Amino acid sequence: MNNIISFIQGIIVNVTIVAWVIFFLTWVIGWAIRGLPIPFMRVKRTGERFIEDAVWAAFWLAMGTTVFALIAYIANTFYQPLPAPPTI
Amino acid sequence: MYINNLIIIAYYLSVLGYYLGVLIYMLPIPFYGLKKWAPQLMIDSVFSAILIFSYTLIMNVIKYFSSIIGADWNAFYLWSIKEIGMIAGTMTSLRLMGSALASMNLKFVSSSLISPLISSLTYLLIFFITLVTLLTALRMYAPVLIAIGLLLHAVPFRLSRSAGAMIIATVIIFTIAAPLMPAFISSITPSLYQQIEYGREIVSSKIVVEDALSHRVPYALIEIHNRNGVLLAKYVTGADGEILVGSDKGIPNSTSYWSIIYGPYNYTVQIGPKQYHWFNETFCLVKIKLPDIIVLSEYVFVKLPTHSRVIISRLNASYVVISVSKQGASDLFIVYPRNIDVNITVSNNATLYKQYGYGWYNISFVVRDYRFNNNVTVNISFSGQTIMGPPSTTEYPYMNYLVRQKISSPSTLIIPITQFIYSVFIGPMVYVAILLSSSYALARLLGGAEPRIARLIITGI
Repeated sequence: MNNIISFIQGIIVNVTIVAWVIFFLTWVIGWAIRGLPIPFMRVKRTGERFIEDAVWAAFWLAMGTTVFALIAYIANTFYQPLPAPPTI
Repeated sequence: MYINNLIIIAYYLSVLGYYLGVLIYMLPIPFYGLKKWAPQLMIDSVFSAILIFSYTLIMNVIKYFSSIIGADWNAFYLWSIKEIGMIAGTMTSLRLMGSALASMNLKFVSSSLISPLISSLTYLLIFFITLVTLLTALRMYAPVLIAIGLLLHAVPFRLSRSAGAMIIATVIIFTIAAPLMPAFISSITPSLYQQIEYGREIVSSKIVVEDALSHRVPYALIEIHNRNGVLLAKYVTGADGEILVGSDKGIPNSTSYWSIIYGPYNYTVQIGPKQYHWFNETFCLVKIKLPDIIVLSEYVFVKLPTHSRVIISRLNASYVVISVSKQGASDLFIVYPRNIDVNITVSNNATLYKQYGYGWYNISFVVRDYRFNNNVTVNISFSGQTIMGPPSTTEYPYMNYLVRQKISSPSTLIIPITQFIYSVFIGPMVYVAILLSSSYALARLLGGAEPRIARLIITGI
């Protein structure tokens, strides 16, 4: 059982690290596309969208711990001591 | 511990789902089909986490709703035990009927009518016990099952979300509502409910016939009639003056008229269940006393005048002295089989008034009627006695009478069984179908088919 739990925890940590890396990648690619000296607004808007998504995702990534902590807190006010929110 | 681990795994799976969603959100690729998964994954995960943290809440909700609607598992088990007992009792009765039919040379009736009924009852019993076992398992393993449901619910990408939701919903609905099954079934069962009541009509018994001095009367013939004079049963006591009538023969569990016939004399009494001495619900002792007969040996007996006083001294097995006293003129009858030698001497104040023969089945009796005033002393010695055995008549068990009655109208046999099918098969099936459909609806609500609650809770739309 503990193996499975630590396995899943490992995956979570990896996913988080990859997500941060991809955030920077997307940030860079997004600005690169947006700053292209070409007059195709559709392409430029795609870049803008990348940046927007990346910022929102980064926000949710940073908030992830908080979100689950909030759920745990609300549930605990009803009942049940359960696993503490993940700390990453 | 096991449940806790399941819940912890489920929790981390939901966290994983959330971060996977975020990861997909961030991907710098313009495929919006893939990106649509991102918010979906995040919302699903958050909802799963809420459900996981509500585990105790769910268990308490089950308890709370059970107490509100008055679900009582004990009552449910009592009901199911009663139903099982009724089916088993009917099966036993049918089996007894089958063997009675076989002994009446009506085996074809038992194989064409009784056997199918017994086998259908067997299937019914298997189905019902399986159902009760299943419901018990759902109830007993509800905590584990809900934890497994939560685990399946939390697997990312909705791989087993609907299965998990279905398990959770089924456990919740069945644990709350299954105990109400008896109430549901009794509310839809038509009132013409009746059962095969051999259990009530027939009882097994020990019948004892005694003479005036509480000695057993061997080979007394017992005929039981109903109030219209129809013969219900016929038995003969054994050499020890009693007969054991098992449940395959039986006596009526209702008031009937019992004639004890012993040679030329016939005593009829009205006997009902209140006069039986009950050992338990199905077995009783019936003791019948012949008030003015004194048995001296096999088929050798004295019939006293009513309300007389008697002193008897047995000098040995074949020599008896009897003193009888009664005010006024009375008759004393001495009865013995013709084929034994009997030597009778009476005191002076008695005279042989009459002597005649009486045939009773294979036995021919000699009846001597002595008339006396006030009191008489009789010396009786007898010899040359051969063992004659019971009168040559066949017994007629009460079960045979019942079976004849039932066979003459098969619907009286079939209707109770159709009612079992109704109350033990169709009723529970309908109820289980209702519960399943509401489980399915609850499962959809929990995110099986559409993540309604999830979307409602998390986005508020």
